[in-house]
Amino acid sequence: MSPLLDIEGLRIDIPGHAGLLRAIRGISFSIGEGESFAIVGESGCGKSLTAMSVLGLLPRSAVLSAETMSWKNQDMRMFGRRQWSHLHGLGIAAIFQEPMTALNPVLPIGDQMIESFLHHRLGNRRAALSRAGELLERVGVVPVERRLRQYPHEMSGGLRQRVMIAMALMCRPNLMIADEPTTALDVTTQVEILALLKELQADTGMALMLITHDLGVVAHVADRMAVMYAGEIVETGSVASVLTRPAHPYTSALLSCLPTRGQPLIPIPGVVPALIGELQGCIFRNRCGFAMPDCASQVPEREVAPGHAYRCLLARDDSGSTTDSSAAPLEAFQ
Amino acid sequence: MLSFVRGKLLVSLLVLLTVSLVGFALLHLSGDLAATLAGENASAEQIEEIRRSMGLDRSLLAQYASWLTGAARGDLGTSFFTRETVFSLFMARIGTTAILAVCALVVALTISLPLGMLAALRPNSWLDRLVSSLALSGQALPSFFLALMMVSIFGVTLRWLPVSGSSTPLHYIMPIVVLAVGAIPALMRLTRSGVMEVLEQDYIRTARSKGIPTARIMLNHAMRNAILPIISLSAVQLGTLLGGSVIVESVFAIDGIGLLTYRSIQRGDFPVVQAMLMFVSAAYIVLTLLADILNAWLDPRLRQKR
Repeated sequence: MSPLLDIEGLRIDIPGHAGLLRAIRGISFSIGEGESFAIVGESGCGKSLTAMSVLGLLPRSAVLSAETMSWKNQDMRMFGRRQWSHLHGLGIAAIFQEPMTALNPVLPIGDQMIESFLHHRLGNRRAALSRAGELLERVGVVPVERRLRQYPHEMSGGLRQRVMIAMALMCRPNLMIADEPTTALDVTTQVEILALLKELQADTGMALMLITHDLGVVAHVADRMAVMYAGEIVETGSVASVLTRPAHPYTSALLSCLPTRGQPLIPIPGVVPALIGELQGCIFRNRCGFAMPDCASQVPEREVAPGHAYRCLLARDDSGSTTDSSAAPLEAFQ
Repeated sequence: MLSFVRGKLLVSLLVLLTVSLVGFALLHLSGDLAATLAGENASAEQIEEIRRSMGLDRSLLAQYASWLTGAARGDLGTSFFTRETVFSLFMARIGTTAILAVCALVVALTISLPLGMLAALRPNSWLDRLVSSLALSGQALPSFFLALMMVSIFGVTLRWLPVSGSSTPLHYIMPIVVLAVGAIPALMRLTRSGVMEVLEQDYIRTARSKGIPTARIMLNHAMRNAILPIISLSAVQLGTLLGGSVIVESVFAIDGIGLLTYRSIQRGDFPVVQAMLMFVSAAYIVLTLLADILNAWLDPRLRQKR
């Protein structure tokens, strides 16, 4: 079966004063119906930019190119205004990092929720309000009648994120993009929101594209994942496989950054290089403990297991992992 | 909402009282009103006579008290010169000035809101640059110059429009244009910068991700937020316009509030000046209050702070 969303060789360049910023350099991934796929990386690695490109909401100055960029086998690059408008809400819906600012402060949340439903002509106002009510009930924003008339500032961050989720579901999208959905929330609320997302996904059968820096969130929610570093996907595979048998030194390093009781954190030394000008070889080599001279010229793509690929000169066999200390059972994240 | 308005009204009353006191003091301390009234060739006795008959020989506080009690009953006194009541002088002119002011503001808003919005949608486009340079030249152009140029072109050379008086609607066109040109630059800039700022907000991205078309995003999401400071500025500008423009009223020979105030100041017609001062401050206060109420109605966050 063909995937819902198929991206091959996506590049995003952003012209700036210092030169062309090569923000995304040839990444590929696909998301099938009902699947949940996570993109993990540090801030600035391009994961949000990737999400925005799928949403067609890149900044005006950004230049996008790709070998394939298709939604249900249709070329997204050929989409006109009308097709994008149709895709937004109906095909793809999104929730964002800051629930505090993602809702319009001067409109009641009911009005904001029914807006896309009415725009996409899925029914009249009454139908829209009743669907909004059902969804608010479902995500636990009650009493519904009062909540629909409330304004965003009358709600907490966790409630607003629930409203955002309900709003995203209004038009029954095939894919929900969640860009750091829990980062701005406190820990207990994070867990609740993640559980809710997972439940809703099971209920509705929609696919989920989760953007996060938090490996714990990935372990909680996603089936497959991609690790991004400095505009490239360095490792991709099933969550179980990547987290228990990380093959790329960067993934291992990320895993050893997770706090464990009684052990000091190991930060990754060095900084992400500037992505301006010609870039060659492995972009992680200046921070990598395994770097060798050849890393400056070539980066082969290797497979650990079917579906679990990484870009590195180091060969891993099926049994081992890069740094044994970092390999952790999957349950440790949950 | 009611307590919000009540609180504002109380403050407004205090402001009005303060303005009346300061204005009264300044007018009386700025020179000998009796001497001014008596004229250049008056004898000392004549001046004294006027001082007594006008009640100007009493203490400043006593004079203020009697003015205030009169004003509280709605009696603003009579003009020293025309012997008409200040109220009738005012009523004869406020209509003309109010028409000019309201029309000028409406014209200014009709032009600056759409242009400011379009400029904000496409920053640094040719339209944005055109709008910015229009605003700049509008601001740099003195209104007396624009008024005189318009009179010479449309009045004298082309003979399309009458140049003096206020007897027909056609008479109002040029003064309204001149006043509007004065108000447009600030409104247009504020619209542009306000909309640009709002378009950067996360909730605009949310609206786009829902597939809402740009026109609807502009009106329903962006303008609903960007309009708040524009309402406040419009209130201030309408207040200024209601005070009358001496230049515009002089050039187009319109007998309005501006000219009345100007002449009264020149000849020391104290009751009229004091009344006009009170009118202009009251107009500012009422308009600002209306703007606050309108903003609170549009923005729920402002409502809750009270």
